[in-house]
Amino acid sequence: MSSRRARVYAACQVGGWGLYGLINAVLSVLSVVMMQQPDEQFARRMFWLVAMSLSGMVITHVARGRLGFREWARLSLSRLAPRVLLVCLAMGATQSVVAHVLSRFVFRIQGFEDFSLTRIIFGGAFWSVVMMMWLLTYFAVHFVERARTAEHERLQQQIASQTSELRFLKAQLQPHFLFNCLNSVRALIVEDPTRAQQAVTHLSSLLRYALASKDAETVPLGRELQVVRDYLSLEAIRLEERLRVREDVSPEALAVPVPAMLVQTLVENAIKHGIAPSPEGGAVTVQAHVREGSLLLEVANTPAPVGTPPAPHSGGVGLHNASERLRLLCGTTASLQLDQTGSTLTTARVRIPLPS
Amino acid sequence: MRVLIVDDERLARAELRRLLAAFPDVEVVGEATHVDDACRQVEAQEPDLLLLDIQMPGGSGFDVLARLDEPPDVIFTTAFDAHAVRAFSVNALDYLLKPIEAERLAEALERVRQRRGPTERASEPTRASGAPLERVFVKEGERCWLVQLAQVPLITSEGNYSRLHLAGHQPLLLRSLSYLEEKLDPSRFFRASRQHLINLDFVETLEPGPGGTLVARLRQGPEVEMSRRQSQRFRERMSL
Repeated sequence: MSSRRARVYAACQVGGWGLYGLINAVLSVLSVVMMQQPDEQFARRMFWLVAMSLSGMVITHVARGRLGFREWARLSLSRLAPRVLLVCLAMGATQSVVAHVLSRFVFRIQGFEDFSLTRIIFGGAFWSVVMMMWLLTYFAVHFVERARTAEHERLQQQIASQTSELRFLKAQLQPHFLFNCLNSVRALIVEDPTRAQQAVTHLSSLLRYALASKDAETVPLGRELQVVRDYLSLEAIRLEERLRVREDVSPEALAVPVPAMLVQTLVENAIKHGIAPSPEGGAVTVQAHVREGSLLLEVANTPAPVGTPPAPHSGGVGLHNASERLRLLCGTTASLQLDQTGSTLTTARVRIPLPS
Repeated sequence: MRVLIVDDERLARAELRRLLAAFPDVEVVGEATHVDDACRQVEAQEPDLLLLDIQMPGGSGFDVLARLDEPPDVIFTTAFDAHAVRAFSVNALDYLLKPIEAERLAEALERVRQRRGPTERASEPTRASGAPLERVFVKEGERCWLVQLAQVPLITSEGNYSRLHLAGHQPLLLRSLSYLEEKLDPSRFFRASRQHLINLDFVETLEPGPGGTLVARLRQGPEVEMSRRQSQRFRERMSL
């Protein structure tokens, strides 16, 4: 992206100032032809024109670097306009002085022998207009670029949210999980009607949340955790004593907005890869604390015993989608990492900066 | 019919027991919760029928079948698994979707009864131990087959495993050739050499080979040169 930007900028600089020089050169040639009189100053004028183009390039380039025009592109129009005006006057004045000095002392072009204030002022005004055009072009390109990037981002978010919405019903509440659940509930009806009723309640709550949650939205962590508990109670009915759950959440973490279904995805992954493949089962720990202006969220599971065949359909797609949505909804400073280095724990770590 | 239930979820096993209680000729002889457990119990109980969950700790239902010497009849149970359904599309294994419908279970059990034939007495192991091996399960990636060994013209040795040479595919079996030779019907299968076990039903012609050996040409298969010693044995056997 940045290298492409640099290339576009370089092309605009060379192209723009080159064009300026070329137009002037053509006009000079035409004037000589029209006047039908030899001009012994012609070559000097030409050199001076080239030098002016180069000096314009240098001045605008230095100003852009020093004043950080790229940052200015983010400003609102009302704050940008006065700055642009000031800068184009300053650059115009500088270029005008350079023009005067070059024509008088370097190229010794006739008619510039003596210093004249009006010439400087007129020259300054003329060059300011040229610089204004330069700035307008510069910011126009930037605005177009930014609009395009924003559109691109928006489309990406749309695609990501659509795919995860689809994946959500296909994978996050896998049919596999759903039908196993219904099967357990059917068995419970005979064995323990009260628990069967509870299970139906949990399942309804989970389904409602799943169907209602637009993927492109955040929910307070507290709400997400309620649903995660529904999900865990259902998995507990299925896995019974093989699933052990520990929760450690500080109260100030509950209000922090997180992408809907984020914790659910992490917990589901933990069960799928850590608990379900192991005959003895294992433990899932959910932790959430606020530290240094960020929400730190950890979902850890005891890994399946070594040599256990991996769970099927695992391509890390769920985690990848979760981290994409996290980035889109909570900004690029939010992060999700899976830490499998520990021999006793596999941990998914999420950091979300608190909204200012 | 003696049935072993294999599922890692207690409630799913309870549900199957409840459904099976409606069939007087079905006796549940045990429950297994993971792959190793299932293999152990099949060896110990010799059930006629496995009700086998696909996704389990320690591997899948297919792994159970691939590890068994002489698999009993099988009905798979699965909650929903496109994977599994794909695996079944290539063979005639029966499967039931959880939560299982009583009518579908009745149909599947009826098919098993048909296969086993009417002479079988209920609640007795179908196969006297020591009877020759007649079929095996082979697993290749996602697919799994039940192979009738009588249909296999040639089996070759590949290290500790064996390859079945069928028309169309050559699945690998996780058993040594010597083991198979011991288990298979000796009137049908003959060890032609260290590498080859041939099905005599498929031998079309026999020609003399170099150094007093015999070369057997197999229908739907290649030519197999017998070792010198086995050629001698073969001649003795044929002259009897």
